[in-house]
Amino acid sequence: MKKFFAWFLSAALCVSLCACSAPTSETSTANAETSKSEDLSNTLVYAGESESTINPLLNNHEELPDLIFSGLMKYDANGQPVPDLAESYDFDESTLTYTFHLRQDVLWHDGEPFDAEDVVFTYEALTSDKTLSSSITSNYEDIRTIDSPDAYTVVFTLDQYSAAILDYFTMGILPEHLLRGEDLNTCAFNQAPIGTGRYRFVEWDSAGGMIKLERNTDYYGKVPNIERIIYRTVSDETAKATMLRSGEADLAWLNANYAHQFEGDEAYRSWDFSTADYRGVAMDMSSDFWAQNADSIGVLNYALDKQAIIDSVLNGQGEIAYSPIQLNPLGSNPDADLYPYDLQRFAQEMEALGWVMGSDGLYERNGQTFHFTVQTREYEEERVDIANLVSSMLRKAGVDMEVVLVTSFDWNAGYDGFLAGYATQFDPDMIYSQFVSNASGNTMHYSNAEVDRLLNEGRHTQSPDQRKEIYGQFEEVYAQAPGILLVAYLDGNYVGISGVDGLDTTRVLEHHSVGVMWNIEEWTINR
Amino acid sequence: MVNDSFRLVGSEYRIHQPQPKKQSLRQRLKGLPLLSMTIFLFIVLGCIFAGQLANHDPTDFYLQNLNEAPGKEFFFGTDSLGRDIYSMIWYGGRISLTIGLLGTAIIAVIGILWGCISGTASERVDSIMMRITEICGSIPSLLFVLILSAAFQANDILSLSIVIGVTGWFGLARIVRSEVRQIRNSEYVLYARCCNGSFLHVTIQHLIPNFLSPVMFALVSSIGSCITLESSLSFLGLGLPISSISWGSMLSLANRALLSNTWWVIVFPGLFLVVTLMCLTNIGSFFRKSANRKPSNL
Amino acid sequence: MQHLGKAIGKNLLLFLAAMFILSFVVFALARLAPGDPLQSFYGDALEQMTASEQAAARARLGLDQGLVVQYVQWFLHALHGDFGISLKYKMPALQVIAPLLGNTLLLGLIAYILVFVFATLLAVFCALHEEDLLDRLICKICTVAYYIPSFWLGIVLILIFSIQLGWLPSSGAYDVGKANDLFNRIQHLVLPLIVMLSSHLWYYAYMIRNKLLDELRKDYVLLAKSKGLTRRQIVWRHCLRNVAPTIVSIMAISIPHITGGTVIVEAVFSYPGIGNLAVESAKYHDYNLLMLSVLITGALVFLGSFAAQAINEQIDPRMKGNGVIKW
Repeated sequence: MKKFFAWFLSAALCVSLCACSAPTSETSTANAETSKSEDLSNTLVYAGESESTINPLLNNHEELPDLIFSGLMKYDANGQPVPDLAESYDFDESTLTYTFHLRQDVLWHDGEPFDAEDVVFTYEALTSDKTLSSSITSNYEDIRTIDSPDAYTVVFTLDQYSAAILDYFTMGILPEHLLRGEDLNTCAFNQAPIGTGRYRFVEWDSAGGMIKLERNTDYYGKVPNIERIIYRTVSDETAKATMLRSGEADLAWLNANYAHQFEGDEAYRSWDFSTADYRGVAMDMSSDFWAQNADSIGVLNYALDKQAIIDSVLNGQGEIAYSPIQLNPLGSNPDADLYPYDLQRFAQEMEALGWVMGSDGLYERNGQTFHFTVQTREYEEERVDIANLVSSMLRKAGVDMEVVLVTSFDWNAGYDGFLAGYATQFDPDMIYSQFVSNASGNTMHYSNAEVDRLLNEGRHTQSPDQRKEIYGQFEEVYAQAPGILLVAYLDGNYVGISGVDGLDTTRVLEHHSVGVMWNIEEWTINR
Repeated sequence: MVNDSFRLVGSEYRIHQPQPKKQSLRQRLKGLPLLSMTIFLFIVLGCIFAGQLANHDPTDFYLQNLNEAPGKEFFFGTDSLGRDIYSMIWYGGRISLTIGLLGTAIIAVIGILWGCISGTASERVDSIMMRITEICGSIPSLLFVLILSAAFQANDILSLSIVIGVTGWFGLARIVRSEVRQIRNSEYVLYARCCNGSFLHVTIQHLIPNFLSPVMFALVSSIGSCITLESSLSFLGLGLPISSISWGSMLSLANRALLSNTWWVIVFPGLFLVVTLMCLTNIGSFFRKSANRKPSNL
Repeated sequence: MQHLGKAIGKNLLLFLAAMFILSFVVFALARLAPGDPLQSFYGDALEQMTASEQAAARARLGLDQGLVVQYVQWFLHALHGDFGISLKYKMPALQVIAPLLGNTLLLGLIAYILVFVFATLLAVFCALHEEDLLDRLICKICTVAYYIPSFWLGIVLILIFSIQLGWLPSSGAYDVGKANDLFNRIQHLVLPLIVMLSSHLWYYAYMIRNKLLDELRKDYVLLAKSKGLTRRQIVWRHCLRNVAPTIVSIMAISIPHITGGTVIVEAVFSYPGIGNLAVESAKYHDYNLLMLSVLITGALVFLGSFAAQAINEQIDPRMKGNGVIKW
């Protein structure tokens, strides 16, 4: 009897183990059929970042939403918005009305036809859903009404002219027939998206760490050459580089030091994109320390040998940053470049500001030591390195910047700043949500009446020449009282196997070099 | 009064007086893990006198000397940001060893107290206390540490040691308890208790000295496991902040050196860690009185 | 038979109590910890929400009540298989974990079996060559291997076998479209398993070796020898059989140790599994997910220990009765 019991228990254990692993084996049998026919010769394996949701409203800085969804407009090679889901649009200046005439041949990936209802649904969510966990809602605050007079026309009325609104109309459209009444933050749709874009979502294989996409053969534009894209979700940069090296991935965005390792190897090819992506130490202006010492941010620039940082961390692939819109056609005002690397000047300016060098080698003012904390995300190696170097340089100059590694930024934990990365690759109005007081992306609580005025004026002015002047002024005003200790602009280094072709480097890439797939339909892969 | 008739006489009557034989130094040292002790002492001294040994600032970035191979100026080379590995090792050792010792101290206090209480308590209390250690011990300690360090943001030496210590005493408590169970009914303990000796008195005066040797072994090994745990945590990104260098955080940088062929970044800290752990084990096993085995029957 | 029912009942009760305590402790720790769960859930958008909207969101996520009430709610939901929403993935925690369970079990189980098969073989080998040069050499090598931090060994293995030689994959559980390809899965498991073996093998092999050496000093060995059995026969047929209960007990207590090992291995090799997920959720303060992964691991450990104990009672009648609560 006991014997039976023992065997029973061990058998039960085995069965339960098998049962636990059953879900995988079931899905894998389901895949087996597809996998047998799966010929990987026309499949691109892309080593991307770790993903949690695929929804253009929630993840507006990522590659996948751009592939799966499409918007009313899209960006061309030069970063200018051109019609996409809309066939054409009219703008009536007197009534500030945009009228979009939608394409009638568009199908959702599930076969349903696309129409104006979907557009209205998406923009209503963006403008009126307060619980939406999205950082871009400020971009749409000028929209007053959204109407659809018929199934293929959408009319937006604005409160005032908004120069970059066409850019913001590139936002991917969500299917109303699937999402009406759902909570956009938590619905299952976010892990099984259905869009109108060039690629169709097939499967999220979390056990294999990959997301599978297939080209959308019913796409209304050019159907991509590459049949399948496998998006590997990778947690850190080293893993991406190793995967590329060991043949587990075909293409990846690598930091400059890793990309350098692949140079001169015939099996690999690299593309150097310029990006509008800069790195800097953004201060939380609402913190106790900066609330009292906001005047002493700009002066820190003198103490930073930015070129040395670029040469070491970025392997020389970058540019010294002095303005947040430096690589924008409407920005790059050289008069805003106020702070050369000059330690003597630093000491003078600090003295002028009333700081006195204490006995511990740190500046003090009003009984307060110049000490602030900066949170840095640990998985972004180049940010950690930049933070370390900046901290070490400032320490030598007499300023204590404490670097704290975090996994995700915590805005309420009382840090005085964070190691930021931003990009303004399209219209300079993109910085609006970042610098205008209380705007949706203003995580550093920056507030400057003059900056507010200029950015508002820039947003609502039509003539490009006038706007260039306004943004030039903004750069100067901002440089006087910055909230970010700007360090460098990064180059975007993509490395792939030599069979990958078609990447077009004319496009200036976004933050984290996102946007490389803007012309994916032209890419080819040849193993 | 001496009774003469009882005097023992013999032809060669002598009183045997055993002379305390002077042991030679060699004999006294026999069995001691000399090599391990020397190396360990050397490493510990190196860490204590890190300031004198290091020839560079361990926290500085020598941007002119990136990825330099071991040489005259940088004995163990530099990493991709120009940090001097040699100086970092001595300073890093300080923190690693401190965490090892602190963690072990916490383990020792909790484990020994818990074991003594459990071992001397009534059957019921004993069984409950042992159940608790078993339940807690059944969670992989790494997971336990993960939860605690996430919950309490343990990112300085002290709190990290506490987290490591608090999750590491279960094994020790069980060892102590079984030792206590064995000796708690011996006469001298009973006597002490009859004489109204307090729990603390009995524990310190009678219990601890008697199970010192198995416990010492457990403790010395736990120094090693605390150091390892710290380095694993640093590797997982949950350990010390980057500003404090430890062997663990240095090893976690090794991940990055993978592709750049800078083997010295990977090898040197690893070597120091492994050698230290080895020495600790050898020293630890000395405390475990190896039961003198009779010859094998095989 | 009565005794059997009692044993099952007692073990089951113990198991439930353990799970209850475990879940409550983790729950309390998670809720008392700094870091606002609402922040993890909404991210930057939290700043834009008014106080009343935040309160509504809190209520929706069940964060507005006291600790015990929250726990009771969680517990009641858990009974129905609802373990809450993962704050990072914004989907039910169970759904996030379920697909990864198979991967971890595969890795853990194979590692477990290999560790003990090799540990026993190694122990027998060493016992046969007691105090030989070979035995000492193996002891030294294995001790070194045991003390090499497993993540570091993993990195070095990746450097050699994936990057330099290109023989084995460096990450993942299987290649694209090969979820069902056993060979491919094994390829991905080779390096993780080597790391698992090197960091666990000797610990157990040494224990078994010492137990075997004690066994060799018993009288029946002399008897067997006088009967003319060879050394191998004696060790394999007699000694090992007598040591078997000890091995099984060691196997039972080793489960947490080996499970802990998988966590690091999964992290080094980016292997999609529960351990990796647990680390990630600890970092993101995604407590629902962390809790579920700890509970699942705990449950597996307990079940494994029960099984080992039952087997032990079977092969060693001496264990009967007194083993009821000693798992």
